[in-house]
Amino acid sequence: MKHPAGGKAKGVLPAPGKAYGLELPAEPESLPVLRAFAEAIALEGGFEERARNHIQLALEEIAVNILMHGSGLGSDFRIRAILGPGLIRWEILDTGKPFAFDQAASRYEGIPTVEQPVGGLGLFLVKKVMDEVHYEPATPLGNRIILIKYKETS
Amino acid sequence: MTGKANPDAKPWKVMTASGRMDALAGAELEKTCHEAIQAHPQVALDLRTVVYMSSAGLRVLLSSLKLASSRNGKFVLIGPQELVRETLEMSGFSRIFQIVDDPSLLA
Repeated sequence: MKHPAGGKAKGVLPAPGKAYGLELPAEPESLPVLRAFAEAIALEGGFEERARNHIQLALEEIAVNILMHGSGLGSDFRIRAILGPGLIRWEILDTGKPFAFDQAASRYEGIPTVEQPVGGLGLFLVKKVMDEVHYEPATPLGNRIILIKYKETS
Repeated sequence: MTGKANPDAKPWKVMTASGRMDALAGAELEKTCHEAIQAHPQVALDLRTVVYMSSAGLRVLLSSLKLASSRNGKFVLIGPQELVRETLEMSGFSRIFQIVDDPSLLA
């Protein structure tokens, strides 16, 4: 989906929005908390069930990636959400080792086989379900992933 | 119409998954599926009450299909809901799985 306001800088909101934040330990027990957090904000933003499912899916995949490949169990990661006009913007920060996001996300090309392992499937799904995905390694706040979902307009 | 049972037909083991097939549920579901596949030549996983599937759930399906194929068996999916079906389709998994709408359609 295209941004309703047309062209713009990567991951930048067109106008100020309502902000939310959450800090969670990098452990499996955080996943249901993250899910509830995401669902509540997406509901408040008026997102339909399908879009909320996409948001849950993307956030779970990113969180699991941090759990598996980030700074390790017990460390923390931070989530910020901003509800803007017609969109929701997620920012996930972790302090793990930076990685080649685009390369990892392109390892899977959408054609599974029973003969080959399917590396990169989670990030492939993230790029499928979100309208914008940006990865900024090693910012002063840590590695930052920005996910944006626009509301469908009919 | 009258039908005659095929005496050579292998019985299906139908398993039911429910709720969320995600990173938390993946390991247990994979163990259950693999045990069923090792005990039965034809296994179907009923997804009609599954409301969410992530890549962890997809990996369970793929490893189960792989195991069934290695044993010359079958692993079939039943009735995924719309949102789960979308995940199967956008991941490409719907291309390699036999998906039926209802257990009565298992052949």
